[in-house]
Amino acid sequence: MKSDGQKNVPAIETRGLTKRYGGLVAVEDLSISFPKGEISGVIGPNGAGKSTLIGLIGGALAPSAGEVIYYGEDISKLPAPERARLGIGRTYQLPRPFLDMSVRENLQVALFSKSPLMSRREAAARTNQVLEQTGLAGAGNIAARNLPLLRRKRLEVARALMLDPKLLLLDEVGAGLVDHEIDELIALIHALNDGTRSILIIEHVIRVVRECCKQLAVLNFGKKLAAGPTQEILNDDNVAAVYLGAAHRTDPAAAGVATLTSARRKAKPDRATLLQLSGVSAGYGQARVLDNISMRVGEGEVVAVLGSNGAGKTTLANVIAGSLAPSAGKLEFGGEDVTRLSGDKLFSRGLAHCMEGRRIFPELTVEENLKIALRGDARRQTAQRLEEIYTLFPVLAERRNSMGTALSGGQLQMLAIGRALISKPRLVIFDEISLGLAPVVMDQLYAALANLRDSGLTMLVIEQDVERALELADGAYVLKQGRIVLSGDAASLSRNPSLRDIYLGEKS
Amino acid sequence: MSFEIIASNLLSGVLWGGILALIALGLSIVLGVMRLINLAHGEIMVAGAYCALVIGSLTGLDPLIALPLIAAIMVVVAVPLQQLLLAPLAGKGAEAPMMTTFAVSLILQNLFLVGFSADTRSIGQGYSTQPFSIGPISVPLIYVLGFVISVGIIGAVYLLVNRSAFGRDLRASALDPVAAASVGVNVRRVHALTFGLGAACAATGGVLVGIALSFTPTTGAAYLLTSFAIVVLGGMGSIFGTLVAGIVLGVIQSIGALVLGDGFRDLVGLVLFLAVLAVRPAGLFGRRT
Repeated sequence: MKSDGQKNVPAIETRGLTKRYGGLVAVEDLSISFPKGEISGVIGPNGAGKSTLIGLIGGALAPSAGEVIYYGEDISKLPAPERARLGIGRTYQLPRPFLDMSVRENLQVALFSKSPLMSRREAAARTNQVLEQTGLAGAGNIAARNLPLLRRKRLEVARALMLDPKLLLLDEVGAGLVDHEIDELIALIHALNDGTRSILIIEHVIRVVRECCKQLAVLNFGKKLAAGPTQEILNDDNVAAVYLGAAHRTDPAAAGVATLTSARRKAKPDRATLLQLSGVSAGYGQARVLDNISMRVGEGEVVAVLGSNGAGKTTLANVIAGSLAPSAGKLEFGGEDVTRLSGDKLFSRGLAHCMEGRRIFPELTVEENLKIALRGDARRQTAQRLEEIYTLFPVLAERRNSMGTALSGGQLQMLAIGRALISKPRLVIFDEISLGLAPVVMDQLYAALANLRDSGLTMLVIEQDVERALELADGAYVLKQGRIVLSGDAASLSRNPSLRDIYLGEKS
Repeated sequence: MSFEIIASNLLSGVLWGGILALIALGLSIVLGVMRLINLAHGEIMVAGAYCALVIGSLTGLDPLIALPLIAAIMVVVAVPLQQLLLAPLAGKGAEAPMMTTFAVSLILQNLFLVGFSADTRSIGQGYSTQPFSIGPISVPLIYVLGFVISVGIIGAVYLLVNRSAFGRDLRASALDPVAAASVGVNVRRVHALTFGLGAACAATGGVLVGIALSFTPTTGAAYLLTSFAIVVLGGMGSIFGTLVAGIVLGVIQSIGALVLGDGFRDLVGLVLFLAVLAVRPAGLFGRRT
């Protein structure tokens, strides 16, 4: 990084930075620097120490050793609020707005913490400006609780922007968004880069990294694996091996639905019906999320539920699994009317739900998290059932006595899948299992699901990634604003041009 | 002040603290698992004492022998009470169930008044006044018995929560009820049984209090406050923390009574409670969230 004058002072630099949690080294002797005024990225497998790095830079975590240098100043000892005042702003991987406050209030809380004496008018003007900038202009008076995921992520960015940061840390803002939302996100990130502000992105969505970042660093096991210009790094063989997996390297252009080529299985309409929904509607309070849904899953079938954020996919999963009662319609499982049954009753009839967000019990050990799903007679086969799950995911066996909190994202997801499978259910609902995972881990998980499919497990798969979902599934239903707008077997759906329109939001 | 008096007071503070910890444990697990502030906890404790009184007068059974019976009766009464009054309020916010328990506490107090009058009662037994001496140090024998019984029950609850399949369901329900239901845990049943367990702890403690000291229909309020102090001090959800906090509070109450006079017992405890809230809001052994 040679350049004139003060340009060669990096925005942020770490020297020998180390963070240990007990015996676990999350970041080890990391020396890395990111230029100012530019967008840089950090990628790496789950558990590589990326979020720890953000925490160390933002001040939420104290380093075990080493220094953090911000515009030439050692800030290693400063607490987080002090760093925020110096101009380091950050977002969190999982948006955490104040749920009962409006979007506007959420932003003003952030502003007040920095400039308590700012006049009301000035504060309002600043708030409006940020709302405009982040595309939330129409949402100022909505309670944060009622924002869908994409907008919560925007709010998260907006909150950080209220402090007018010189260095903005974005922690996985792309996770869980569909293609056209990612387009919007990329545009937003570019708009934030006004030439003086430095931005550091941690991201699994490779498109965001490729289209935004000039510089890229790759972490693996808490150490720097590679660093340099983005394109070089993305074509690096080592990076491909530990992180990207094969698919992303060969074809850097975003693979669309139409390019789907892999072999698909035929639909099996002759299979006996396992799950049947007839005219199901549901919602939360006054808000109706699902409207007159009818669908069918046959024994041994894999059915995908597709749709953009806020289409009602997770609500549908919650209704089927019994954690949300439908307001109308009928649910049948194995020929029995289960409309009014609660989650635990449905579970005992063989319906397992691998919930969105993994929902691992953090203060139970890995083994306890698995054992809890063994009930009644199944408890007598505990050792054998555990062994089957450990064979499927050997890393869980290694960590069987660790607490749920000590696992990386990929391990948590494996545990969630294991927990859903251990009871030998007749139907498993997998809700967004690839969310926030490194591409190479996603490949592993989907390979595991393909094996399960081939062994005859009936699955309902909710997924953002159309390509992956249709590759796995026999058939699919596409939701839009709580209604089924398309359905059919996977092969014909993936050739259907209107899928792309609905899913990518190009037409309404 | 002689060494003997100070040492005897400190020891009885430790032993008394064990009994307080048992009562507080009932409050703590109900709070931890059900997120319910049970304002009727003190009255449930007093109900245990009256129960022992009635059983004693009807059958002549020693109250300590009758403890398992009293605990069982409380479970049998408390579980339907929870299912009838509290379960329907699930998912309706934290206030409604809490106010319901407040109503239950008022109703119980008045039932005690009607049934037993406002007289101060005590479950008189030979050992309630008998001393227990180690050299020059002397404490009431019932304190020693009460401590052993309380610590035994607390240990049993610890094993139940941390080693059994029911305990696993209980911890999972406390952490994430929706996810717990999705892996087959009957969360409503766990809540009902937890409430029963909490009531049994309170009632057992109430019997010990009734033998060691005395009680009236309104005694429960003071023990509710003490229990809150212990739960906060020990950190919510920590059984070991509850035991230690109970003993700490027992000792501090003893010291307070010794230095300032017996009437200052509760005051000293509550001042400590506020001080801990200010300095360590998550309690001495609690996890910060």
